[in-house]
Amino acid sequence: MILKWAPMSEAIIAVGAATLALALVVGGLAIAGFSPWSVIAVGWAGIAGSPLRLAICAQEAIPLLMCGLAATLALRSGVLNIGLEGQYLLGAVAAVAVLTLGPVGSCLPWLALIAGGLAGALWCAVAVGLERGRGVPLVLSTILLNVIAIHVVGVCVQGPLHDPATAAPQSAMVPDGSRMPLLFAGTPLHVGFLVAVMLAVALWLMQRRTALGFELEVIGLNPLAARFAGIPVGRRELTAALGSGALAGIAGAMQVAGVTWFLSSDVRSYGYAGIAVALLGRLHPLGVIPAAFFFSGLDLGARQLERRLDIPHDLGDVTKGLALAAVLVAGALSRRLGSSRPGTP
Amino acid sequence: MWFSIASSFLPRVLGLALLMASASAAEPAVALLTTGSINDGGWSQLAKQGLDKLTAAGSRTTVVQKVSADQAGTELRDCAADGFDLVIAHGYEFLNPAAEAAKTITTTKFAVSGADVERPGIVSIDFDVSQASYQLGIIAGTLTKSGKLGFIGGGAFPSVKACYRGFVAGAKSVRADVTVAEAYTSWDQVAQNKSQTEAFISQGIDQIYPDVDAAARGVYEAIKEHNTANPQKLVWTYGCVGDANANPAAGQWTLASAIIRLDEAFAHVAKQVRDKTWKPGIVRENLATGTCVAVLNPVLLKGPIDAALQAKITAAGAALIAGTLTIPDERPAPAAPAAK
Repeated sequence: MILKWAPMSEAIIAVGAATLALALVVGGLAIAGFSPWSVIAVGWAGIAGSPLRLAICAQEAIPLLMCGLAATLALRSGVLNIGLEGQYLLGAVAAVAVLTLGPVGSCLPWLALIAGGLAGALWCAVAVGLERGRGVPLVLSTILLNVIAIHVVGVCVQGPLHDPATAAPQSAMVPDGSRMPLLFAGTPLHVGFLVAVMLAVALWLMQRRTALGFELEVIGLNPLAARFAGIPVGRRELTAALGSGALAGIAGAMQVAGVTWFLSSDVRSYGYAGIAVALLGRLHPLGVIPAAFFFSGLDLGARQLERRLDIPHDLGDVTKGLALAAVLVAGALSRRLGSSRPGTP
Repeated sequence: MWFSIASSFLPRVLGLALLMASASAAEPAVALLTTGSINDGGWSQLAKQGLDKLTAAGSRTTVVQKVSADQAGTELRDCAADGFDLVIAHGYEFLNPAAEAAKTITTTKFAVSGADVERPGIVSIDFDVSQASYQLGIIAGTLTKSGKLGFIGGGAFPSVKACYRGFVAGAKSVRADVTVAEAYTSWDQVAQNKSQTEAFISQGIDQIYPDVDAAARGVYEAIKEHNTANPQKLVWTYGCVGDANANPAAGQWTLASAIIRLDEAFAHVAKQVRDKTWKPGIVRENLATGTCVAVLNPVLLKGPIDAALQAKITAAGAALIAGTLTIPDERPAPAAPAAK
């Protein structure tokens, strides 16, 4: 019963936090003179006003979902990988290299995903190597590697990956034949969405049904106890870190192969947003899916509000921040109440 | 109940529809996408001001800020679905997404400002500020005492590099031995630009040309602090893209600004849509079109920028427009057509 209730209470916390954040923002807009019904109607139309809008929402959720899974895998295993931003970018660079320098072919997007995953994992391995070899904390090295990754993108799009047709720092376009296939014709949603959802389910099954998942869970809860239990903590942490980096790298590769089809020095990364998505999803692989949709829906709805009602779309980011703060506070309160309950260990 | 709902909403909906119809009959509906905030004090803010002119002329307008290349495709399609006749995507980053959108959307026209290459179905607006920067370079080359100049760019983009090239060529045209140090920082890090300026000043540089949008505040603050402490050893500065001649920090030491009149550039493309003379390709905006010009600081016209220097600047401008004077262009030559 307790096992069934635990994820349910986590879901209630997340949904409650998201609802509270939305209510606060809509209430604030009502005080500012906007009709709350107009705000909700226009925002909702931007998210799910038509099947096309829903497809766009799903498309924008893909990188958030992938980075959210990457953060979930790392944080649940006690690995503080804050370098998803850089791993995402390196994945995008590797993918663009494969897609623009390689021959045109339908298998190329899949090779690009593999290359992106390897690049993300390798970038994370650098941070792990610094921690193991030189004692540099992973939090610090991954954050610093994020900055370096931004410059690596800049160097690549001005150097080996530069589009010779322009002086702008950007790569050439990925040829039509090498792009990710679409899931539904007439929409921008590509098959990467299915891959991301399958990876979420696979990660959940791995955590729930395999020895590796159990060991990672134990390490995340108490690494000392895990060591006493004979779990090879160092190796398992390395596995989690590399897996997390690979997922972030695949996210970057998917975005280049399926959405932007080119890379510029002004590329947007979803690494930090992925950590927020993971926290809102309560570090549950399946919880990350609705959390990613919530974030992408907020982005789409906020931009629709900006176009139609002149409301700055930064309000979407404010809502995300409020939801995250609410979920963290509610989580802390829930833990405190749980531990003060009689009979609770 | 349905009747009461319909009776309250229908007149508003009809009124809105009539309003939109009357606006679109005269002037095209224009949407603007920007990469930055419309309060950035530079590139995006100028675009918003240009859009405001179109609003004043009767166009229905909207602006979507801080759009990344990832989101651009969706935004371009959304603007088209909202019935905008023209979408001005403000930044070279939007070139490829706009070209992709133009493949399938024919009812809306797409213009990309700040792009330097042609793409099928869209208008690329190329702003050449190198000529106006050349004129600024003449001032810098004439007034420098140390012979050391500095250029700070927000990023090594084509439009920024063009400013650098023009500035160097202009300075060397009046004093061949000047050196121009170049540095590329960021568009939004005020502190970074301030420390870069301090580094330049410590190297003896006495003329600094920043092209860093709102982050130029850091440059001007550093110059103000230096000049206040060292009135005998003044450092002079300039503005780029926007008119910075009256900036509150260092307006009295800002000699001139190389500005882009985005309102005029936007009016040109809006006119093409309105008059149905739209033709995809590159629109080159420069000194000759009156869109990218140097504006001297009127406060300093009786000081350092004397009549002789003004005459030199005017003569150079005329030569640049006539084509008798050219600035070396590092941009790649247009690709040869593919063999059939």
